[in-house]
Amino acid sequence: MLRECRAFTRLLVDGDPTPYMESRYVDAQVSLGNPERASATDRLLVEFAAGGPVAARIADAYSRLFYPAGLLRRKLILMFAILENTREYQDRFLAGGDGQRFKAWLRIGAAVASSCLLMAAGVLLLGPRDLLCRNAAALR
Amino acid sequence: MVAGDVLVVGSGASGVHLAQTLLERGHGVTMLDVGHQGPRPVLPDADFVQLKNLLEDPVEYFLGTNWQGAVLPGENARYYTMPPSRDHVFRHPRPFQVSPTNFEPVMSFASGGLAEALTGGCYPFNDAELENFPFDYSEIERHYATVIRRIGVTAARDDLAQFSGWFDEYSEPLATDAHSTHLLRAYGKRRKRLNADLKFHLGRSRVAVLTKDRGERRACDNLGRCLWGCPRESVYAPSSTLRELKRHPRFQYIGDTFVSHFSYRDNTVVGITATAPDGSERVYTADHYALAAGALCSSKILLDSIYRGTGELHQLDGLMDNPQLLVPFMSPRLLGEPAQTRSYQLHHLALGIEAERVEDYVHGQITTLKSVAVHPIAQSLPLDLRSALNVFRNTHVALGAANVWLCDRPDRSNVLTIRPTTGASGGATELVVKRQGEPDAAQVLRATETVQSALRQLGCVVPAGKSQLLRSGASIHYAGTMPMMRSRRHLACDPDCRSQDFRNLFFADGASFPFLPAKNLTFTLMANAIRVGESMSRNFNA
Repeated sequence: MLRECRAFTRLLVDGDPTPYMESRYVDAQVSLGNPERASATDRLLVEFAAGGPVAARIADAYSRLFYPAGLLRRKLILMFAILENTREYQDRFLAGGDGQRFKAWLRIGAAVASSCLLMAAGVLLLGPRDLLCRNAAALR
Repeated sequence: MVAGDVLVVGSGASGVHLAQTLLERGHGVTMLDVGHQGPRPVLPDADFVQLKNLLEDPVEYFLGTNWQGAVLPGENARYYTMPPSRDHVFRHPRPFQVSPTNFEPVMSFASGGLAEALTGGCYPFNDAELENFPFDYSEIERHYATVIRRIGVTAARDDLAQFSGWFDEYSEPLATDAHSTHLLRAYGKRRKRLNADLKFHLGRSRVAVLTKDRGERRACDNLGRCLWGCPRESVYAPSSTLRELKRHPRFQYIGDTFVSHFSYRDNTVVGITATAPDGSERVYTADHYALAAGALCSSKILLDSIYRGTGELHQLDGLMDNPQLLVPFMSPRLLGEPAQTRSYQLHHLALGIEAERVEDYVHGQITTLKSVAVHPIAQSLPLDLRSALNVFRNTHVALGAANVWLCDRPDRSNVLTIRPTTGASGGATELVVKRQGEPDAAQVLRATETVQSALRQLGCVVPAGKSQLLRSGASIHYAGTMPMMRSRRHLACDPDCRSQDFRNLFFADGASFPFLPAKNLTFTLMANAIRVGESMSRNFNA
């Protein structure tokens, strides 16, 4: 779980979690329901995402496309909610832009384009494994 | 037994203003209330950003001990949620059970009632909107003025005055935030066209917020904590009036008390039965009784009382609730602007769409994004979260939403009744609310398209498919179950909101409204409670 916390924090704010953030993330797991009920796909995506910020971003993009309310998204959003309420990182969420409209358009365009690329990468990297997981679950 | 001139049930906007009016006229008041208390405001001088810096456990404050402030994806995901500091407003006591169909009722048992989470909108009903009421605007106008003097309301003399009248008692409005200023400027440039083509009018919202200190309430200091509960009490909440009432020698407040029913003989109420937290029941008596527990709860008390008295299950029809639309938008000219979290957080602007028939008038309030929980918004974007955060940061100041209300009329298929609780003893029942009448689809579409079109003319981008009609019950404007009327009718009120079945029982809340115009009703609830209080006082003296 601490691996997840670290990967998610790096993904969202390019920083490391403090012990306070780690403990809050661990506490927050109760709001996700029974972990035993997680599907094979859920486990695959969370395990993949815990590998690091790049993997987490690809898995998140894939989840947004196919499992927007899946376990990984829920965990990531919990981490997001925690981080936006911490003194260390709150400004990353609420500061707004730098006053330059043209650059803002560029940044928005870049964000959308990168998200599309990440989704494509997710389909390539995670799609086949996801299919295997689902087929295995169906056979059982 | 506790005796008093008038026994008021509920401490919400209606209850406290009724009580204040009666006390001012020399009558004694006992108030029965569940009265859930909210947490004491933390760090009252800290703004939204400072709060996160200074709190020892900011995550617990903002997300709650049970993570109820975290909005996770799924069917119930919303753009925002009530913060944990407002949990007490929506918590139900154990004996209260409700079974809704096609309606999601929101009720409060908090000290101060639902209006503790009031966003401050104060819009008087006009003559056309009062047409179905058994009194006209001239009769309630001075009571609106009294409410303004009591609580403080800001307004500007602008295009909206034609819909909501003008009072000299209004205070100057707060300075607008960057986005609201931009929208007002854009409206100024296109005003004639918007007025002529779309009948669309924009102006400053009428808000119960202080711009100067008033008693213990302090003027707005732009802390950006309105939604979390203003620690300066600048935004009005009835609990501040209740605090003043508690100092009055003829006022008695009995909290932690759940009123289940009243007893009666013939057409006279002889006592109200309430349950303490330990389960013990007490009977409270007075000369007169006023139910001000909110339309749903007051109706349940009435139905339970008849059921316990006669064994008969009655039903009240005509429950109303303003259909509410949410229209999110973005102003591209503000893209990339730095965020201004130190600002009055709620709406600065309001809109009105003129119509020939009062039923077609549309009213709304425009909220621009300032201090806010980001995670509910970021997850709604069709992007991975990191990209969504980048997009949000650059669009933050440019984002806004119009909350739009349509009128509601009494519909006999919207009913409220009670059902004996299976296996329970002592006459326990649950409240059954069935909403079968749907909002007029053509009217909803027309209002949505007009607001979207007006926003586009103001230079906004209105994302396709994001405008939505909120679930029935979301507006929290409930009314009409015991309508006031001049004619005689079983289970209705007379023009003074006195029950036509019980001579010493009054309904001081929205239950007595015979029509629900497209406006926030809290301001009129308070003004009407003063009217009822004056009428009760006149009757006592007579």
